[in-house]
Amino acid sequence: MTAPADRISPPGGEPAAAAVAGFRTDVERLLVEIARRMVGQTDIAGAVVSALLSGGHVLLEGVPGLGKTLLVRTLAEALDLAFSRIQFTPDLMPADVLGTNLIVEAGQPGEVQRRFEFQRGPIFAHVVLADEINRATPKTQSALLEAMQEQSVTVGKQTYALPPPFFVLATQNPIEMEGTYPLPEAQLDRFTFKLRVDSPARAELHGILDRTTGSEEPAVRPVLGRERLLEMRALVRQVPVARPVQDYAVRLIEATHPTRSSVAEVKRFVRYGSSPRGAQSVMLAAKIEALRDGRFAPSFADVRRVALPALRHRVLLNFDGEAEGVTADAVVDAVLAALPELPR
Amino acid sequence: MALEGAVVGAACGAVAGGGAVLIAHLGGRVAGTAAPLALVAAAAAAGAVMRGARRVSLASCARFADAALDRQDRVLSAYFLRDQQTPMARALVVDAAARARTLTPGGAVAPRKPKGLPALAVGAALLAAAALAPVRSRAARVLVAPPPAPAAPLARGALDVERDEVRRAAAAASALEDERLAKLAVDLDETLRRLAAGKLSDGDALDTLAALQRQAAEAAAEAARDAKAFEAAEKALSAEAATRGAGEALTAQDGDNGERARAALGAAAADKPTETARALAAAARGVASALGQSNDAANDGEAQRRLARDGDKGNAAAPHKDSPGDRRLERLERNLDETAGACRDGDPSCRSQAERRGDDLGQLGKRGASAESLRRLERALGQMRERIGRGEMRSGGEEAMRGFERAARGDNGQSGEGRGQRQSGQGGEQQGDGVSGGEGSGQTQADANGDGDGKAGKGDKGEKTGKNGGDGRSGETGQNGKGGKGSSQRQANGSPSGEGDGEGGSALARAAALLAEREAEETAASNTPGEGQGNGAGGAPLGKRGEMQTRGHETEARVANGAGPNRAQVIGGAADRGFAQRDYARVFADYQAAVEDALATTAVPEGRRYVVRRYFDLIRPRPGKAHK
Repeated sequence: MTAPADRISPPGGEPAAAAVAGFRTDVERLLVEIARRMVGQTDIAGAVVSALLSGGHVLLEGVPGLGKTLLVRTLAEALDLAFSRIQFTPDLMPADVLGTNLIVEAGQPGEVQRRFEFQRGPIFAHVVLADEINRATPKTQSALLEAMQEQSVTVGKQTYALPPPFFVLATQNPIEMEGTYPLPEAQLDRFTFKLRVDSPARAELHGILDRTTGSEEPAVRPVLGRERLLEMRALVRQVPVARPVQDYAVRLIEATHPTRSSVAEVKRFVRYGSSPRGAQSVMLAAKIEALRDGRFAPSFADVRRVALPALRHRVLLNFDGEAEGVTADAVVDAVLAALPELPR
Repeated sequence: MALEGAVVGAACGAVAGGGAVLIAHLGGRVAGTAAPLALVAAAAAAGAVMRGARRVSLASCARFADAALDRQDRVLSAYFLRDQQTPMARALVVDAAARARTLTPGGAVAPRKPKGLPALAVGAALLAAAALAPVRSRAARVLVAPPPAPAAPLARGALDVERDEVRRAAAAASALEDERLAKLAVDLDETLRRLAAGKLSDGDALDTLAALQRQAAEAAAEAARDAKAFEAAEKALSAEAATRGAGEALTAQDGDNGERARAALGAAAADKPTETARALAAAARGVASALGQSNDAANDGEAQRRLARDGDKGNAAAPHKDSPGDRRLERLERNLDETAGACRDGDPSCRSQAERRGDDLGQLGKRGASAESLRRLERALGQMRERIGRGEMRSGGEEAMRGFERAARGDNGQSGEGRGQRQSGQGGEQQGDGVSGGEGSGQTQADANGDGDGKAGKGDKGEKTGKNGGDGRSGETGQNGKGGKGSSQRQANGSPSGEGDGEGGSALARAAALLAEREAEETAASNTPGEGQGNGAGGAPLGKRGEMQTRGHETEARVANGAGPNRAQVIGGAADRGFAQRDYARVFADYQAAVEDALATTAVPEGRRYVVRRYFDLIRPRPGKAHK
């Protein structure tokens, strides 16, 4: 996703430069470690790491067998974080995800005291894989809403904070739609990125076979701890943004709205445009792109690069768009092509 | 920047100079090369100064620097974040400054092709073209109005049908002594002459024809009312034994019915004044009744006139209340009443008054008899207007001509069998219905108005209906057949050198002259066989009754009019038999022609046109099982 660039060490900004360099190095180490087990899908891995560093979540869409689960598991191992996987099924209940209050007996025989004790569900982890999230009922899907946005879980009258970093990586299968429940817009909006996982190329397939059909499975070492990850997240928030670049992101979001856009495709095919969360996602991801490239501020190109995964699930097509087979990707591409970097 | 401004300025100057040179050349003035080139140079200089003096913003400079570096907007971001004191912002500024130092101004803004070069090329080409354009001489600047585009000539024979109608109307006017009909015929003939001579445009012709059609419609409505009043009076007279002779005299249609009615009514008044008074009173009531009905119709016409958009269609046929015709009828009614009173009271003037009423009723009958001719003329005028409106006069399509003939006749005659030959003076005034019939002879279809009086022949006359057809000739096997009275009337009423030739003559005289002129034209062409076909109204099929006294009596076996299935039955039957009947093919042709006419003259949306034509395609007669 990023290309190495020759970087000139600024003589007057050593601490910041060092921080940026450290950020870049750590991300590269993380990606290299993931690549030890994961063949190909480097763009997907980079985007997942970006979403993780921005404090967001990722929705992975792809047919089964492309390594989605492996990617998440490898990421959790490389980060040395608590990982849990939830297989979403139609009979999965919210309590199965969040946890529930159980009656617990304590004390001596004869003086047994019973009390409710909250048994934490699988969501209490740093990295949560919500596998095939669209197979669960909307009720269960909605159980993730508070957790993803507020980083907390409320059961009864008690609210439990989730341990940072909290990162949800959901997957869904685009071809087996029977018996599924498409994610509601409110749920979709909580994902920083929606990534489409494509089939590996021939060379990548060779690599996959070499690694997975032999007797040894590549081991993944933890390269980043929780504390370092939180520091990197904090650094992302310190990256300044020039007003023209931020204005470009704002105009980009506006241009996805049919009532405010001058792009013909948007006016014709879009029902609702991106929410402000889309702008936040774009801007944070652009900052991370700049840091990964060793720069101190994002550029217009960074915004353009992250716009598609950040906006494709936030642009809702109308009936005409659905009927004519227009994709949200095509609409976002049209907006990017039509929008000038600086306002005329 | 200055260079770019110079290029843009030069382009503008070249365009302006080219325009000025072109205008000068068109105005007959010679423009040298110095002034346009000076204009271009001045414009280039002005453009260079304007663009060179314009201040370039620092943000733009930053964009140029970023473009020269790595297009990562480092310098632009540093410029906008230079005031922030965060470590990251400071590091950003330091980094951007360090990178910008590596740039030279020439490297930051690489030489590029000026954007205005294509415009400059266009301007230069325009200037060159204008310089090469020939200078127009002053003499050539005199504006000469272009000659009016010659109208498309009338197609050959385009007015034949109308001329035929004029001749027919003139003949009817002469026979009936109808001034109105004669005037209309003369006016229409004049219009046709001017149209044929190119002295009348189509638009003026349409206006003239519209006026004539309106007059014809009014006259026809008036004549129809007269006919109704006449019929009522005649019935009233025939109902009384004393005046039956007068009633029969009125219906004799032999030209002197007025005189005979006058004599009969005078005699009746002298012999039986009371019965005559009763009959005259009944006749007055009949006239009043006809007058009342016409007034009702006039009121209805007024209402329709208010509703209809096109005021000159249909409504013109309704006579105005208190028109001269009304007053004439009222006067007749009053006179009839007074005469009846005089006879009832034993007044000595009863007889003389009754004789005058006989004259009046005879004239009323004549006026009423021209109703059909007036209606026919009205239809012909309407059809001619439509043809001119559709431009068929100029194109002169044969199909349009046939459609006009059919429409002008107001019928769908199909059974013409006789073949006419142009022999003026022998045919009668016949009103047969034949059109485009097949081969046949004039010995069948004894119908309609033929007055042939063949003696022991099988038939005598074919009816002329084709455009060049003459009057029918005697049947080949007919014996002693003689012409109808129409021939003799024409001979009696006019001649090519007749008295009606003068401009100031009465309408009747002019109509007679017109008729004679037509006769002369037809006579001149009589050596060529006619092409017209029609059904001759022959005389007695077996000839005139001989001298031999026998017990038998002669009867004419008339073919029932419209024998066979009617149109609705034909169409219904065709649907059952796969649209393959011959009868159906004829019906279909008529209907399709009518529909095409309607589509051509009406603003029908294209989609509806397609539906109509598609429908007619589906019900088109099929080949194969054609059987009667």
